[in-house]
Amino acid sequence: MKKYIFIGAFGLIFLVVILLSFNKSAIEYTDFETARKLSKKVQVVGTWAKEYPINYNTATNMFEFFMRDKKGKLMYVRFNGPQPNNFTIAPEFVVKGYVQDTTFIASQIITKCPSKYEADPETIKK
Amino acid sequence: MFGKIIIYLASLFWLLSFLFYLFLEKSNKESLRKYANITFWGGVVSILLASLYLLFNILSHNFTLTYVWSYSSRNLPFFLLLSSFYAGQEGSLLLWATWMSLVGVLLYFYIKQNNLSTLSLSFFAFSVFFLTLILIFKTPFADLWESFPDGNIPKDFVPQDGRGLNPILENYWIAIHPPILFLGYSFLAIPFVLSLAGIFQRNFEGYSRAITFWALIGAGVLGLGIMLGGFWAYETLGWGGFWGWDPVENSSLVPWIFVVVLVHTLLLHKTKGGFIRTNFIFAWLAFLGVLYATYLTRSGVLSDTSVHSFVDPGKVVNVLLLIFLGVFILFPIVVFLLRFKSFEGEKQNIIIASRQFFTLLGIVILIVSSVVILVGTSLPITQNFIGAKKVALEPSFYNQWMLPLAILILLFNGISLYFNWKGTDLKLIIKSASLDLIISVVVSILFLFLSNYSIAYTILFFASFFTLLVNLRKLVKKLAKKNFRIGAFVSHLGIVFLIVGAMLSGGFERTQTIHLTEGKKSSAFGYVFELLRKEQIEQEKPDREKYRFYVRMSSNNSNSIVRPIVYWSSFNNFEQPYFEPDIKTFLSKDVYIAPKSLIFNDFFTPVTMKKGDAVEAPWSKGDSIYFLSYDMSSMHLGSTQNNFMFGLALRYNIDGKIYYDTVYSVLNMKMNSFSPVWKLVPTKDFAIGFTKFQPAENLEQSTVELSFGQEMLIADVTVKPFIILVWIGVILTVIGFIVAVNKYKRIKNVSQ
Repeated sequence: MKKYIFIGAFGLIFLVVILLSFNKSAIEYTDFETARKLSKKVQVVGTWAKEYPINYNTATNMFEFFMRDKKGKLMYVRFNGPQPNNFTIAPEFVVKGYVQDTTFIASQIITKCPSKYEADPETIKK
Repeated sequence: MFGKIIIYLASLFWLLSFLFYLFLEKSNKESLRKYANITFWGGVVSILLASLYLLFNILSHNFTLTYVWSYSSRNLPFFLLLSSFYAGQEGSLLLWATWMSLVGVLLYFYIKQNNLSTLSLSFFAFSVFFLTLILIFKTPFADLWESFPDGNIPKDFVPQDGRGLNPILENYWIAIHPPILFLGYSFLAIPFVLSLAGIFQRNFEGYSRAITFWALIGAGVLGLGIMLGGFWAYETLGWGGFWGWDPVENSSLVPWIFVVVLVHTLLLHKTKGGFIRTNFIFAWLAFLGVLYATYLTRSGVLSDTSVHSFVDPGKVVNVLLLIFLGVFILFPIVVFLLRFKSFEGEKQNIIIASRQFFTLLGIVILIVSSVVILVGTSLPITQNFIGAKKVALEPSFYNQWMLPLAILILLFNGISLYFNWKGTDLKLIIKSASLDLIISVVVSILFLFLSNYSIAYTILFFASFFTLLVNLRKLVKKLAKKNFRIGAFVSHLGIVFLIVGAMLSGGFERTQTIHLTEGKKSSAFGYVFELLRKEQIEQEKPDREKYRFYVRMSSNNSNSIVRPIVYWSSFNNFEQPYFEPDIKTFLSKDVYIAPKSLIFNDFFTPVTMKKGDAVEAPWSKGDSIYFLSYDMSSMHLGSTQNNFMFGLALRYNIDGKIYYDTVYSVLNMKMNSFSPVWKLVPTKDFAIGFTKFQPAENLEQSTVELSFGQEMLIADVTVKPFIILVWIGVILTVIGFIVAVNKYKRIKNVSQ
């Protein structure tokens, strides 16, 4: 019996250690307002605010645009990299990064593509 | 209709076969054997028939079937048509069931040849039965009118063409990676059913060699399948690396780790007896891992957190998958508890200075790593379950854990080889061990300087180099004695290479961005990149516009051409390009060129005009552009319901010649977005784009903006040191499994 208690205790401690280790690598989904307060790495889901210009600077490899989170808050986003491939047609995207002053510094932009996998009976007949 | 009936039939056959074999075991009525065998073969044949029938429908382009319409089209070449068999959920389930049937046939003859009980066939039939049950609800044989009951589709309606395969899958890898992966999954069922039978009959001893044989095959095939997926992602999909700790990758890795644990616990059993319950548990967990992977990747629970796309299969299938999982969690537990006492192990005295002890430590590390991966991968489900705030795990979570675990596992493997299984006097090994240690320390100090004083990586390097030395010495010794039982050493060398390759290529990779446009040079890492030309390829295929970019990559002492690919496909109506990377492989590194984006930088000032206007072309005073009319004829060609193709018919006057063309923009009603489809201006090397539309009361008064730009391909250049070690490592590991299997081809002394 002792053996099992020992194994069980060891397993439990191990699980707690794993859960604690999430802290560094787990990134919360949140909105820009909370992101501003947190000032740590988070991810925000939102849409491109296309009434504002976008800009890609080839010299600095910086892509800049405006984005609205789900609550409608507007944010200026800077991403160190080129404009993502399907940026203009993606209905929604996720930016990972943190807020610095009034800018969201994105380290990654994940675009969700309008997927053709969802079959639609209208498209069958064409 | 035929397809559905045959699936029902298969399901019935497998259920009956399960019951017959089970009662045969219980009652010992030999007359039942005939029925059990007949229903078993009935199950195999009907699954094969179902597969052939689906294949026939795909090859004959029967688009009345939703599945065929969804994943294939007339212009696909033969091997891609074959691959579209398993491009969707339904077909890949059928592929799995097909492999299970064929693997079942192997098991059938293996059992006959080695005089094992057919009880394991009963459990095997039970698992295939569950697969067929899912296939009944998630059938590849549904007609279009059934799949879209609200679509008013007439029963006899045959679409002109199918939607085709997602172009990123159009690659020979799709013909290789998924079948091998599913074959590996199928093989993992055998150790499970054999150990169930062994436990059930209180004769695990008699089954252990057979289980080892199939566990080794399963580990080899699944390992190969997983890494081929990694190579595919690296080589053509342009994901940058071969492993990203994505849930799909993780969930296939976990059963592999379990079957590798099983191989080692079987070895412990073989050398010293005991470990029967442990063996049983890992044979079970490996199979359960496959089912869990199926659940994770098919239930849609991960759709937010993975690069792979998932479709929610619907409630019935979700519940069915959960039942499937539940049954195979509970059923073995019941068998286990029934037989628990029979395998009460005798007290084991484990000597610390023995190979057994260090193997045991290695096993513990393997288990720890699988738990880390499982907990991380299952996080979205647990969050859902307890209603916690949604968070996403970064790959750094896994990397942080795997680094120390890899160090430990390497050291344990290396140290274990100094000892005999049952213990060796420490004095005997001191001489050889200290020599190995000294060499490893010296080389590692060198590495410390080269790696820019990265302590953690240096320790990992030390563990790797040390283990490499020990394994090599053992290998040479064995070969010198003409002993070819070297599978374990080859596999472990492979793992060493794999780990070192992953560390060097991942930990020391660097990325820079280059801009490729005609007439300009861009440099990264001492290489100068220059776009020479682009060539349209696969012109015979009307569904795509595919270009190969020829880029000269030169440095002081080398000069080569890299060829990334950019293409547009009818799959998304040419709206956005797809990319394929190119890799320049050197002995010490790969230079990985992955296109990221294709943009048009402004070349001339845009012009604004109304319908009927003619303006002077911005590139030359003599030339002009005449806006003839709006073209709405392609409106409906947008890739989704909300997208429309909005066209402008233009007439150019260039150098006294007249050219007609239509430029389009994709209008998204939902997002009110407008993205131009850039098109080259006739005879020129820059493109024109319909960039803005300013609506007025009517079209006549509305204005449009035309922009001119030169194409610029933006690519990431990544240097990956020694990634070749990863591939060498995988090949060695798999070869090791094959060599080891050889030893277990025949099983001796099975007492029945």
